[in-house]
Amino acid sequence: MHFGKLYCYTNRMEEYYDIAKAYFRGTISAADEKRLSEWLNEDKHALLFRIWEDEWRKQAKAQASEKTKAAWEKLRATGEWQKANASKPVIQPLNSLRWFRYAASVAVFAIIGGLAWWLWPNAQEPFMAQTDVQEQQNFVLSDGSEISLNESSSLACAENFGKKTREVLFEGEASFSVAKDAERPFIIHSGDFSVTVLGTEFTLRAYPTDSIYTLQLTSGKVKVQYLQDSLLAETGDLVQFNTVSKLFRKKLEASNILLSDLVNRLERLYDVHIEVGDTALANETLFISINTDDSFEDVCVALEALLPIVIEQEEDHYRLAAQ
Amino acid sequence: MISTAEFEQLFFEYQPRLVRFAVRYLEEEAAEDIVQNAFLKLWEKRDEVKLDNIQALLFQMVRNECLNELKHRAVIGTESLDGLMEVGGSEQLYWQDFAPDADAVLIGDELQQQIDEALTHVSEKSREIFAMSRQQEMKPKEIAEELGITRQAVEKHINAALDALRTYLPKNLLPLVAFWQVILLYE
Repeated sequence: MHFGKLYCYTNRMEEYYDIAKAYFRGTISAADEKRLSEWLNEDKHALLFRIWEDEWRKQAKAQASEKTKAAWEKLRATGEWQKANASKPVIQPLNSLRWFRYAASVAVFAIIGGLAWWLWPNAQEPFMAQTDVQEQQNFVLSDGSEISLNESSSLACAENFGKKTREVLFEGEASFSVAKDAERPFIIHSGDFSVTVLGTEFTLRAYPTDSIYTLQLTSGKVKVQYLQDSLLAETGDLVQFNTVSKLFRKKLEASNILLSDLVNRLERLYDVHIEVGDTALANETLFISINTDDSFEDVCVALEALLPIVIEQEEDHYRLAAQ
Repeated sequence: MISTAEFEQLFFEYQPRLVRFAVRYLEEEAAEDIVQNAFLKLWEKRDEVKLDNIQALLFQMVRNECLNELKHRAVIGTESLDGLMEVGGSEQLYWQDFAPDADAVLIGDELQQQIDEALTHVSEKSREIFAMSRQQEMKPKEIAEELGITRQAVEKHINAALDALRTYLPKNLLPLVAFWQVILLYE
């Protein structure tokens, strides 16, 4: 079946989330090992897996099993451990932020260019993070925003970050969980392209070499801007910015969206009325990606393929009925 | 250079899935010991390692020790190697997670290959009899009857094969040295 640029999957993400969690906890079954391995072979999934792993990383100690705790105690009781800790005070702090180094940050800012005036030497060192190929870094900015920087990416805070605004320079790919602060908007600059945020979660991909930048909004609202052009995006939207044509394109993308919520969004998007035949149907969840320039008919075809439904139409009134 | 706090974090983060990996091949107690030893070795070397990619190093240490233990058992004859080939699940998954760029050689394949190689040092007859004893789990008396030779002759062939395994089955060295070099290269 041909859906044009419409991608739809019935949602099984949740299931893989649980399997991944079992894997991190060391309790995965042999059958699930196979399934997770196959699922991981898809590019997009590997990124998702690493995001889940970060979540586990933060909870690993708190959620450790009795067996792991016992093994840890046993290890701490060995002579090697005792000896080492008696003679060797730990100097290195947990998050040794080597990218704090001032000299390095100046050099990289010069490359980013354009907005270099921001970062004129000052007594206070600006925050700067950079990742290599196959490296990821997670950190929390001074305003409490959490950032997970993917490979070959960089992020630098403006010198006056947190005063009137929270502005950062960014290249590459990262997930942002921006702390809410309506007074001081969080603004991400990638050249002339920018994203203004009030408090939300999203993933942004904007490598200088990309022909299309993408922003996937998990929750909240953001404004994306290129020079004078701007676009508002809300929960579930996927925004693409074509760096060649300089045009924006918005997609509706959501994992785990309830059919009833999806219907609300489709009604607004296409200015139609949609009625859901029965409540069991309204509680179906979907993983869905729709280009906003796809026609509503395309969407109907996809929904009929995904769910055991038929869609009846009367002018701009649609009814989803169970088959 | 790994601090105590970083080491503790690494332990809680990776110990569960490394034990799960080792349990694919060994019983739980042996699996836990192998993982424990890998962490101890890492602790001993903590001044020399960089925090990047430590999980790949841990994984290699655990994998190698599993393989060594299996070889040891192959030699002393407590492990049916066929069972190993039938381990379900996916070793591939652990490679994808821990060392996505490495050439993933499955433990069963590597072990089988090394055993086959070691057994090239004995006669075809010994190989055949050894296979009957190990893979088809036939008793020396049954083999003797089937081949029409004496039981003592059967045992001599089996012992020759075992000797070859003892002599020619190489113990995998811990990849520590190799890994330091890789880590330095990437620095």
